[in-house]
Amino acid sequence: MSGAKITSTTDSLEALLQGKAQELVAVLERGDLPDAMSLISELQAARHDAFYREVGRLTRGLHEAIKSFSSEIGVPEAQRGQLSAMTDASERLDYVIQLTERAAHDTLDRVDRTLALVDRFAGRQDLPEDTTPQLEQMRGELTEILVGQGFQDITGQLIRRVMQLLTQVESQLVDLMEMAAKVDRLNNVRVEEPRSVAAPADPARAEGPQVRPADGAAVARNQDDVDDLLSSLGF
Amino acid sequence: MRKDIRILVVDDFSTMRRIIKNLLRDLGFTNVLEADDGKTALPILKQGSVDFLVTDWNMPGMTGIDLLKEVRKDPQLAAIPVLMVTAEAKREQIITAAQAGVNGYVVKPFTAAVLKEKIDKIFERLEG
Repeated sequence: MSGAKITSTTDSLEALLQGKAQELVAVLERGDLPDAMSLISELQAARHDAFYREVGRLTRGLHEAIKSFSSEIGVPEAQRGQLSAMTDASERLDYVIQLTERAAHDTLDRVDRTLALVDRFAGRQDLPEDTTPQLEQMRGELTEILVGQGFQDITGQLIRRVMQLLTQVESQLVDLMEMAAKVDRLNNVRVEEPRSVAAPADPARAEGPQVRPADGAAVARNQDDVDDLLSSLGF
Repeated sequence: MRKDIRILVVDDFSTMRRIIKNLLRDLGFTNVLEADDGKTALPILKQGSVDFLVTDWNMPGMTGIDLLKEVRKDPQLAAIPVLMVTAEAKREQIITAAQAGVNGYVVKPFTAAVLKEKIDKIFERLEG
């Protein structure tokens, strides 16, 4: 979807329009109305054609961008549906919700245990008097940590909204692609299959956290895996 | 205020249910049930032993506002005090909830103090 391509299409359209316009002036001066009318409809057809071509190209470009996102993040070719990158993006977002949920519950577990310890401590008879306000403060801070875990709910709701949006965009994009293909067929446009531009994937390229850490031996699942691998390399 | 009343907490996020449950326990309320949306909450309510309802708004299945309307419509349930705890913060939404008969409205994120204050207020009004 390069800007240069678009300019060249508009340039050629402009050249065509100029040519036809001059012709039109010439036929009108000759007083040849039927010829003038047919030139006007040719002009109109050229405009439509250019417009549909442009929409078609943009749509295919978008589709290609999504497909290459798919290959970049390592979705196997066989599983690569039309728009599987969209699905993959949703999956990643869903994973964020799962991760934050797990982390929040883990924090809540620890807060529960610590609060129980504070209560046990507060129940002792031999405490110096000045510890009571400190224990109260501890209880207060722990309660705020507890309430603070509500971030998981807020962020989760926001992420779900984005996932809904992705699903909508995906289905509308499919419609748009079908429409563009139909217009291409009607206009007899032959779409050359874009050459694969994907460079061989660099296995060490940064990808961020693994979404499906359980998948295959290519991914270390925990620090033990990392240590094992390093020690096998002589570290 | 009786501490043995039965409270139903409705939220689709388990984290939030747990937070509210813990805060209620801090206030001395230990008889707490949970549901993850309006659809699962209604049958629990209809069993007739819930004294206080705390609900989220935005949930799949049945939303909190629809649950509130169902509760107010049902003569068996209509008198149950309802506290909404939600991230929905538009004026119109708050007005809608008020018109549907909510007893209190807490916007997420909230502090322990705010939640406690709103719960206290609801019971004060009911008893006063």
